[in-house]
Amino acid sequence: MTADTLEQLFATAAAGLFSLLVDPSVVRPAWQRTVTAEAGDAVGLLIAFLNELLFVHESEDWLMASAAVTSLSPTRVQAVVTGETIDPARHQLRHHIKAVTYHRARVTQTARGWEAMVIVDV
Amino acid sequence: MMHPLIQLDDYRWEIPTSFQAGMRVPGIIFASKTLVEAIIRDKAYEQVANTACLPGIVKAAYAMPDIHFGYGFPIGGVVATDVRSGVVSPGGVGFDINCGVRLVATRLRREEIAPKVPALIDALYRAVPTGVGSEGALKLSPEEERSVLRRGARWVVERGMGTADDLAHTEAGGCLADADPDAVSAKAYERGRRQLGTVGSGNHFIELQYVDRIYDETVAAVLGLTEGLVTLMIHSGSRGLGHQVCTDYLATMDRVMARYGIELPDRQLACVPIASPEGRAYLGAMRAAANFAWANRQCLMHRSEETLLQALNASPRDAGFRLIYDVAHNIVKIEDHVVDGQTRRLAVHRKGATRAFPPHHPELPPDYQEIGQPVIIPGDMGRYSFLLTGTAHGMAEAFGSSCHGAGRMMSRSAALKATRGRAVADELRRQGVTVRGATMNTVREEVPEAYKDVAEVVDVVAHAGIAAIVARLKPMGVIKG
Repeated sequence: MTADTLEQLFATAAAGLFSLLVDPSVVRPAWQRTVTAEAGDAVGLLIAFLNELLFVHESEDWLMASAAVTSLSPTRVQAVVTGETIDPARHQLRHHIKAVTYHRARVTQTARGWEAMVIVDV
Repeated sequence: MMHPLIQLDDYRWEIPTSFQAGMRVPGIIFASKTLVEAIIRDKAYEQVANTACLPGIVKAAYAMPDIHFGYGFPIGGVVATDVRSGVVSPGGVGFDINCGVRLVATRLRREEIAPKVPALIDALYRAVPTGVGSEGALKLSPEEERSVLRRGARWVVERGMGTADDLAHTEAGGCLADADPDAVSAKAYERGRRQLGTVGSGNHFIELQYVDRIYDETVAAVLGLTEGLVTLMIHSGSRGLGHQVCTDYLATMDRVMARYGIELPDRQLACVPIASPEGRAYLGAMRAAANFAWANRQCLMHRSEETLLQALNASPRDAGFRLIYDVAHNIVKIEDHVVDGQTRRLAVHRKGATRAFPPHHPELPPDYQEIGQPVIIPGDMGRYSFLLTGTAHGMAEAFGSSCHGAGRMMSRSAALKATRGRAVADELRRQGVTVRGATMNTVREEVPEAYKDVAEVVDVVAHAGIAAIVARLKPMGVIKG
């Protein structure tokens, strides 16, 4: 994943995660909520953020349509995410994701912006 | 291709400690010449070497012939650490805590049920929740969920869904003592609340099979198995609850690991001393999640049996359901093992490896004292699965451990690519296997050719002497998550 800013990188990663779960074009931004995560460094924070979204997905049968990071510090992220409850008639789920792993995970600043890689366990 | 493996004999390969800085013990991989080629190709041996760096590791980092590249730890690895000086690692267990398999024998014959298999599989598919976000037959109140975490399969049996005999034939009696429901996060409770009695997705399944070949008549007789007898195999784990416990403790350990002076080649190997507050908390939570998994498989078995009885219009006596054994293949257990002539208490991490205790082990039920612990090795849904038993040699050689399955050869996306445009379910039907999957993708991702031939895997285990083959089981129908 690449993005111009770290905030955009988090949003791109969240969208990427949900694109593994379902075709993004069929998810409506029916309602929004705030999601926060904390960790010791950028890699840990990205993983914690994505795992938080997976938790909401599984505990509330929720699918994400969009994410916008509203505040970001080295150890804390807050985002406003939109989405809707799973409707089996419209949402054909592609996978079950157990978790986002630390395996080979990285977040790096490049000349052009930010780059990250995470591997998920399906 | 260049690799560090030194061949010890026909079925064992060593990674010497000189391969990588920080290795405290050598790595030992059980594999044939053919299987080792795949292991070299996907570089899974590098992960075995990484696990050999864990503080307090004893004797060697082991890998089973079905080893493949995992996250941090390889899948198919066994790592034993000293309880006083060693570490515990959530990555050494994996996200699906106490993923495992149970095998149920019946009194039914293959010929009697063969024509009814499609109807039976449809009935199972309707009755047992499978797939992504599948909702359970049981919804738990917070108090009930705490009891499940503390009591495991016992909780289910106490509610009339099973017998004392089921518990006697489940690893650890289906309930690990010292589970700590308070060490499990609110998020994990939330994820588990609606998932007891669900198969889940991925490679989890419920399969109707028959015994198609007996390798050891004496052991098979003790187990009451004869050729043509119908069996039921269930593969599932602790579902979202276990995934969340692993996620939570990986984050905790990642944060505090440096405080204990631990540095490792991969963050997914995160670990802390067993005796530390975080180590004790993880073990308590892991046991609680393991208990949830045993409760889950007990529920799945009960629901499956009920469904089959109804669909067959048979009495429990006619069907004669009888649990052969239930065994975990993603777990860390505190066990006593003899190392260099001394009995030591160890935390044995088995990730994609099955416990395989020998005859006369005190943890085995009386009826299995002479034959050793049944070891259940599922294969792919097209070919066959195997039943083995543990051996004294395996106890001495690999902390009483064996392989856990066929091992993937193709990633899920590679399998989808390879099967594009193919009707895998129809192909399997022509081979006599009825399959129902939650999605078309599940069936294609689980296509038999995505897996190694499990016969090759168990062959290595048998030749290396770490378990003995008892019987081969062929699939007739399967429901996939």
